Amino acid sequence: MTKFLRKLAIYLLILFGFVVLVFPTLLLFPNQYAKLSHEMNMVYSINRLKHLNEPKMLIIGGSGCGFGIDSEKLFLHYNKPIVNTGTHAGLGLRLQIELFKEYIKEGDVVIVIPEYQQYKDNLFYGESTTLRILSSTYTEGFKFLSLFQWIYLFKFIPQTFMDALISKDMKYVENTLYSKEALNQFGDVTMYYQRISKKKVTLDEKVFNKKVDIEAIELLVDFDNYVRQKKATMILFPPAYQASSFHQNNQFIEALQQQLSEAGCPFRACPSRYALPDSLFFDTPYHLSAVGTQERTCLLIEDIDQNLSKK
Amino acid sequence: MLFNSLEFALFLPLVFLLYWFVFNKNLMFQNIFLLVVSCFFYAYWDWRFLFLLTISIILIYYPAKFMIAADSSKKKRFWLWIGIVFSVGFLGIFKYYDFFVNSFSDLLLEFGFKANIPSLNIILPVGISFYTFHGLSYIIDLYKGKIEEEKSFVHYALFVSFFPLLVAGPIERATHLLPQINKPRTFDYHKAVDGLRQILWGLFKKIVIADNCAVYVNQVFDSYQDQSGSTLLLAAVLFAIQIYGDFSGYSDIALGSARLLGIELLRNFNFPYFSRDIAEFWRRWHISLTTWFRDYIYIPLGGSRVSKAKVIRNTFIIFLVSGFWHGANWTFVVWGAFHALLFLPLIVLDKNRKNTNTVAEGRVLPSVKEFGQMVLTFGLVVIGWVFFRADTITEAFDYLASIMSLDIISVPWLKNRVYYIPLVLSVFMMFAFEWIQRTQQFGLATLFANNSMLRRILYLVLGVVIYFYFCYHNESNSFIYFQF
Repeated sequence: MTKFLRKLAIYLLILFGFVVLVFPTLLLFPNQYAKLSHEMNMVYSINRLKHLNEPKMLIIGGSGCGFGIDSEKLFLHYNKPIVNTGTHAGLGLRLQIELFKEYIKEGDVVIVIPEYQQYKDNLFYGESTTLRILSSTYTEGFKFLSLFQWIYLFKFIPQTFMDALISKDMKYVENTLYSKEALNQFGDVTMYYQRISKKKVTLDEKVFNKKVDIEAIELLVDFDNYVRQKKATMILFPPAYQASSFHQNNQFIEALQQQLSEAGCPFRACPSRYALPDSLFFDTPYHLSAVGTQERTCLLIEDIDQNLSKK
Repeated sequence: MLFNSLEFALFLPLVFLLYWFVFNKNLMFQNIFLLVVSCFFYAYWDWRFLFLLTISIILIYYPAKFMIAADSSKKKRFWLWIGIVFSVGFLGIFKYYDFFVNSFSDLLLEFGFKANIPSLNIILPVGISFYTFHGLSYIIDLYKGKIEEEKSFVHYALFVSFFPLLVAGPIERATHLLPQINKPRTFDYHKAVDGLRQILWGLFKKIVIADNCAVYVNQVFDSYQDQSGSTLLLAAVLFAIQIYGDFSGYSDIALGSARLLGIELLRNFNFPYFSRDIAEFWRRWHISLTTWFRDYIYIPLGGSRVSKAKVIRNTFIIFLVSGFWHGANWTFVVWGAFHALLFLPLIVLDKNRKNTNTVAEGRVLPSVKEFGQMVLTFGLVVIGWVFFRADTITEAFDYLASIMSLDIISVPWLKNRVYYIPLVLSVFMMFAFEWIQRTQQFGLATLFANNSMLRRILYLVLGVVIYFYFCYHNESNSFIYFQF
């Protein structure tokens, strides 16, 4: 028995060691899709922020921000540079906050609009999207991952690698609705405005059958305090969300709203205000059509004005 | 919990350690421990299933007890049939009630009558077909005097619910497993290592082969109307590989897990895709089920010792029942009937026991004839699998008809071709290893036995690849045979 356990332990140790050493090297394989698509917005945003010294409006969120805000309208209204960092919810809320924190300066207005899934699990800590975008477009970003995130993301390495292998043939993304050419100077994805999506918008069916992740709320509270210390302003908004999905997940959203309020970092607008008719959405429950984008941006301006005037 | 899950990876070592280090001093304690963990294993799916398992155990154990206590053969037969009828009825309600209700309603509708027969909409308990058959084998063998009555309820309950075979077999026999339960087990290093080896091989077949085939198979079957003949053919072949990897992989994990605990289970697969005819295929595929049907239905009906017409009748009955056992859908019945039709010429020509030895015995490669026979048998089996996989009979026929189109001679659709290179290599490796080991119990049994370094490297590579694909698939692909 001792011999059996000893040999088994040695085998598992060698296996474990091999996996820990070899798997990260798989991230060296570049993902063509990340380099050609709107996912480049993350590194474009960072580059813009590096060179912006004046007070700005910084939008942090998932692709619902990239595919649903008319930043030019905001620019004309507020006469401030707008940086829309909304790239992909899969980056994880935690990393998104960490990535852009250092660029916050006095006088900035930071609009945080996470998608509802970003308050827990994969879209909070990150997933293969995180690894894909970081390894292919911004390797410096790895330093922002905590040790727990490294352990959490480890299991996504195989998927990231396989996606990279598959992406070799992804030249088709060039000059399409999701390509980097679709981005405007603010970080909005706009090329699709003239198009009608061929995809039916899928319903988020009861995805939120779990409780709100406390860590997500703590992160936002800490970020709010950080932004205040920088003499900037943070405003947390609910995302624009397809109405039918909103109704499906009402319980979770209500619980989230309550917990944020109790933590002292409430939504600065009612979530139901941003539960927009299904017809205003383009291809996902968070991506708005051209008309939807305008409507949402108007709501956003009203709510930002209201919040800024209170301060 | 699934065998290819993190939970099982934690469960099995814990059971192993407690079994050999804490509960090994006393056989009854050890068996009680195994029964408790088996119940936990089953309840992990759904705690309500435990009630059904308990009922199933009681429905055989007590009639069996009364049968033994009965003082006349008439009363013995009575209790035997009580046990059989109640157990099969129990299985029938959970597995077939809604099917019969819906089929009957559909039939009435064909004649213009609308029937509002309520269906039960009950979930099918995982493994119910398997553990019901365990119990039936006990009471029938007891009646025939092949075994002694199992006086311990714990031992009998363990026989029915032993966790490695609880949800997907192999279907054990009381004559084989009960004596092992009643006997003290001692740890055997070589058996334990062999068990681990078999688990590794099973995980490879399930996670690397079956789950990767499933990606393509599901995409094609879900949109078969839009696919070319060559694509449909490829998907059908991959489904044949998927179901083999899935089921035999699962059986390997079951056998390996049991061997770690010092218990030998019945072999369930003997490299069926190396069969030279359909009869040989059925001697090598899901062996525990086919032998169960042979011993408890075919032979009591007269088996092969009756007229040719009755042999044919008995064969058809077995295949139809076997098809029906697999699922409450007419597609499974048609699948069974298809195999019965394939079997028919072999019976008529008395060639059903022709290929009983190992193919290419003593040789490295098969002869051209043998290779041709294997390819033909595999092809016929693939056709049958289309019925097994399809949702309806119409869909299956549509699918097969679509294969036979001009675009069968075209390059199959393969989105992201590079994804399939590892799969092709893995499938090739699986068949190569199993071919080399075709006289052994499983594909890794004695492979590279004379070269320990090569063997260790192979185990390491398999471990890495298994872990890679386990992470990649992330969500466990549920085992095909679970709802049987």
